[in-house]
Amino acid sequence: MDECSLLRAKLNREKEARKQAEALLEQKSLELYGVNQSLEQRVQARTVQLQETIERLQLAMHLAESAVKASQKYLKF
Amino acid sequence: MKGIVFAEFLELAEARFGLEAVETAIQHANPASNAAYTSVGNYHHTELTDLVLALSAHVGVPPNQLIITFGHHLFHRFTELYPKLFIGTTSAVDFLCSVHGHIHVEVRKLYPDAELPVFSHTRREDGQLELTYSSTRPFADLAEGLIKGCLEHFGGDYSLRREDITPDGRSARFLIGAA
Repeated sequence: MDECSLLRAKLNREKEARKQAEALLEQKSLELYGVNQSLEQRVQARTVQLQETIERLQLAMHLAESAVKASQKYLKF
Repeated sequence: MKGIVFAEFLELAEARFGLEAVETAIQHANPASNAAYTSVGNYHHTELTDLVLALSAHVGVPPNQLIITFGHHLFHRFTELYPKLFIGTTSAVDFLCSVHGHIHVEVRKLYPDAELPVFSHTRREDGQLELTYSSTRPFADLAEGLIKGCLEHFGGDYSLRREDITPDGRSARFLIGAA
């Protein structure tokens, strides 16, 4: 084989290797993107849940405080 | 602009016009990246326009014709490179309606802040699909080529009409109807 054919064969191998690496990166980054999206959705859903819990607790605390105040008034008399 | 466009352009140009023509075009365009493109890279879009203009001057084919032909070819490459995008899609119209979402994911997965072209679609009362391309980059010719490639890929008789919204190639309307 002459040098030109050898170099062409080597170039084709290099090119094939580059394409494989690119395809791998495309695939892995797509997977990562998907996982990231689902994590973000979970964070958002949990944040909403947490907000609701906080509001419920605040309401309960408010009610309890009112009840305590009412009973203190009652005890004074 | 995503590297796949640049890498595929050079490959097609090599196949059509030969290594010497491409090398001459690269030397004339003198892109900042030295034309060492990887499909997963990101490059400035003017490198492509410069290469197209340089190649056009060398081979004597008008630049817009080169880009339309390239877009047509690029769509076929997409069918080979991203077969998953085509699962469950049976018509060109369905694919074109979903294309914006595909571009979004495929570009954003690597470049979360990338500026994307917008492909919006409406189905008109006369049954035609109206697809509007708008971008900060002047590649309505590329969009035309891609749409032509898409229509050919899915087969069937379609008519395609292009109306430029701006003369600079940043915005165009494509009307696709049953022929």
